[in-house]
Amino acid sequence: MGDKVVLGYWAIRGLAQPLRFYLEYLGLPYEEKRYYKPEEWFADVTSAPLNQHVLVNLPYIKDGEELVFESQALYIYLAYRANKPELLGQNPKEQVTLASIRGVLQDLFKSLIALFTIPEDKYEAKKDDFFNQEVLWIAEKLSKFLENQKWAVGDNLTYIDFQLFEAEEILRNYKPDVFTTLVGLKKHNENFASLPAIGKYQSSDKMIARPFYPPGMYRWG
Amino acid sequence: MADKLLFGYWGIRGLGQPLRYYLEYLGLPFEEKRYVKPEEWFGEVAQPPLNNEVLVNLPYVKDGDKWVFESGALYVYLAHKANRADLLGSTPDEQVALAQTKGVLQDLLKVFFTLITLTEEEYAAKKDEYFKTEILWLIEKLNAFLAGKTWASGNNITYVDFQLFEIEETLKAFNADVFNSQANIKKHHDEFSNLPQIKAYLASERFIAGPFYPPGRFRWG
Repeated sequence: MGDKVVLGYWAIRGLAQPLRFYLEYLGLPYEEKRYYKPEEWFADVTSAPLNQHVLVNLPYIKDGEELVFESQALYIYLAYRANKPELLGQNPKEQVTLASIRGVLQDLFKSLIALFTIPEDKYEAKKDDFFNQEVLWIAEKLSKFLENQKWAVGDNLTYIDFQLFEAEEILRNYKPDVFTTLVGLKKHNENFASLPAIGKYQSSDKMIARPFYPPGMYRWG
Repeated sequence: MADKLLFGYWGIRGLGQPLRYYLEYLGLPFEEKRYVKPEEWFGEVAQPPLNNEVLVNLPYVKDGDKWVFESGALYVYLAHKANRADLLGSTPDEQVALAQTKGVLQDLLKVFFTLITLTEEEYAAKKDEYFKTEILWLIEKLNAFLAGKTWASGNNITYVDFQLFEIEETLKAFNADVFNSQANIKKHHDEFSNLPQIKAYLASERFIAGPFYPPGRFRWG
């Protein structure tokens, strides 16, 4: 299929940012449909073809007539589409490790959202303690795990490295000195940013540096 | 290795229950270590060998000298251990559908947890409305997604069917009327509970009927 795939998502980093890095790395020709206002998405969702899809959601990949939803499924779909199934883990050990890191990342992203949804009147007073008690220990766990290896599953890059990088970018932007103690995360962050496709993308005008989350929705973004 | 696996988790259903069904279904010889009091677990975590394991958490599988953590990873580990890689999805389409189901289940669990972690006053006042506006549509989405399929990924059972069954059990216990109104969810539930190994397990004294969650911790469980 010579056509470009379309990645649809809000015009923020959010769940799509690792997928943008992934598409760039995979070298799959693609376009983006960026939704800036809820009304734009609502209009698409309530008309054909999206209104016929049970799983309709953001992000999505449109590949010719086919529409695929659910962010975690998109990593799998795109790996096969680009003929790079090694990014799913090449053997049982890599697949198990990938799933382990995915689980820890899930906890980390959840804690970060919990941090950024502390009620406005309590946020300034509570944020530092909350970060230290609920976020940092998970980041430390990941950092320690990564200390002696290049990528999340070991020697080989997999799709979970893309999600891990985005977690590092959130941490690094929220707390600029966070990598001082998190040497494993710092190393991974630098290795990933040095990948040619990633370096090129981050300097391009396609790159969304901020916001991470919908503007004004959380205490930070 | 002819020794039994050791499956460690709290003495509740929680994240462990689908893994218990899975171990029974796989026919892998196993024992359980059920932690009833927090002190039992935190005592072990602080000593060798667990204090050397970076990803230490519940649930775990101990396989000889090897420890595996993260519930998502245990499904992958045990599938390979039992020589049942088909349970991870045999084709790209099955793997994508598995990941999609997992994504919907994750969203459903998230809103369900938001409901049962409301304060007592909020829960008493808002639970019916919250269920109708935030949870019911996801149950209906799941039900629609299962239409025309025997299992979540299509014709073949995969590990997500075990997680799905536990969600169905939770819904059945929480709101039997809604459970009974969702024909495809009910059909999947019946199909799964009639698998010979599952049927035998549900009737056995190993089966934990309750609680779903740590007693007294949430508004329901």
